[in-house]
Amino acid sequence: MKTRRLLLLAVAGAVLAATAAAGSVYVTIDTSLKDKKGLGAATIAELKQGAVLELVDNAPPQYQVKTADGKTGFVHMSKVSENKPDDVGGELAKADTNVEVNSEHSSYAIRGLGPKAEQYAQSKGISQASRDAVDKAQALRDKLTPDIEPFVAKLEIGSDN
Amino acid sequence: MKQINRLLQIGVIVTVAAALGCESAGKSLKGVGDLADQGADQIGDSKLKSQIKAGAKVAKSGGEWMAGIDLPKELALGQTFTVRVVEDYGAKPDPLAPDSVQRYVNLVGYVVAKQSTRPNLTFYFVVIKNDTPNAFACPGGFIVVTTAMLKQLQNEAELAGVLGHEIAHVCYKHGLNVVSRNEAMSSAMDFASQWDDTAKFNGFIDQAYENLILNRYDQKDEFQSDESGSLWAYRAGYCATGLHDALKLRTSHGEAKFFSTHPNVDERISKLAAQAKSQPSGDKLPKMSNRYKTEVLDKL
Repeated sequence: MKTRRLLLLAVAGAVLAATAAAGSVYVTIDTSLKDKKGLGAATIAELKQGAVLELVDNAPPQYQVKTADGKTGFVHMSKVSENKPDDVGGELAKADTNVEVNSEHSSYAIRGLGPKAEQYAQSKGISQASRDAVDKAQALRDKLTPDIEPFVAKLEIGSDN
Repeated sequence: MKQINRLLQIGVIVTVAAALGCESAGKSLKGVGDLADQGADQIGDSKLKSQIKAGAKVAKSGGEWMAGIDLPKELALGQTFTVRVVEDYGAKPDPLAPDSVQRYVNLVGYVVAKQSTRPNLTFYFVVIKNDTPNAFACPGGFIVVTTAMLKQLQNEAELAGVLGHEIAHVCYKHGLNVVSRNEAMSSAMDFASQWDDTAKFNGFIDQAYENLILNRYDQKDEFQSDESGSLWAYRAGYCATGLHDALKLRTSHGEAKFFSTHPNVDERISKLAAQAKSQPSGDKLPKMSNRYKTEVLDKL
């Protein structure tokens, strides 16, 4: 019976560790804290990716949140998450970039296919067109950043049904 | 009763280990194997004991295998699978959908992935020209979607739900789990010592590819991906019924491969309907039908 209790405690601990503390969310995209819901709201603070916000009211689509320095306002639900980005708070966050992911991907995205995929493709006679297609799709994804903000802004307006 | 309790405990651990997935999946799976092995020692029924011991062996082996796959290896596997999928299912000579469609699908996937349990992983959404509605998740964040799948959907919320489902497969490492549970495959490929052996690597990829394409995921993996994928799409700001609606389209379009490889569609639809109903304002969030028409339907 004692074992069972310990087991349940361990399970509960693991689940809690995997998510953000209850009542808080992380900023996923640099954005603004607004003074009210909807269009025409004024900006009262800039929110940086990775910042922790206290969740005051999670009524969609605009969550009411409170910043670490006590400012309360609204942010669209798409720009925050319960899940903490891996590199937030560490050295990678100080560099203000997803260095870990970018460096992991550098041998794939910048120089085309990685060595394992390339040698597999060559061994199996996979066409150059298919190899180029994957390379092209990766390159296109890596140029996406400037498009993200206007894309999310239209989702935020949310009148397109 | 004691035996049943022990089995229940093992079941709970297996479920939680699967749910946690992510970076610790390999260690969790090995831990499950160790616990199951120990638990089996206390069981009197020799047949049951033998069965649990066998399962524990597979779990431990799979766990060790999974723990040996770090992110660079996961990416390499995913990219290799993706090249093979594009070769086998993409149109010739130009496999890809137009750049503008690729860009749009990546944007939808981006906002959904930011709500996932791997928000910093760069997901690549590759849209290939193919007449069969399908979507396929490869390890490391490579997700292939066919143009027929995009044509079948009616709005961005449905696409967000479908992509969320595939993102969840990546986050929970279901593909790697499928491979690791196959004892013959996992023992045949000890990454620590054989990663650089070209013949063995190629053989492993071929086997794993067949296994993933033909057998796909367990039912529990599908339900888990439905639940998380739908939730993440909702949290990204989309109408909560997106994945539910996409699955329901099956009834009007007949049995498509995407659905035939994901069993129990009716049960999945039922579960998703209940989940969507429980999300605050879930049905009031946008479906983005007009943007989907402009960005996808008008271009394919």
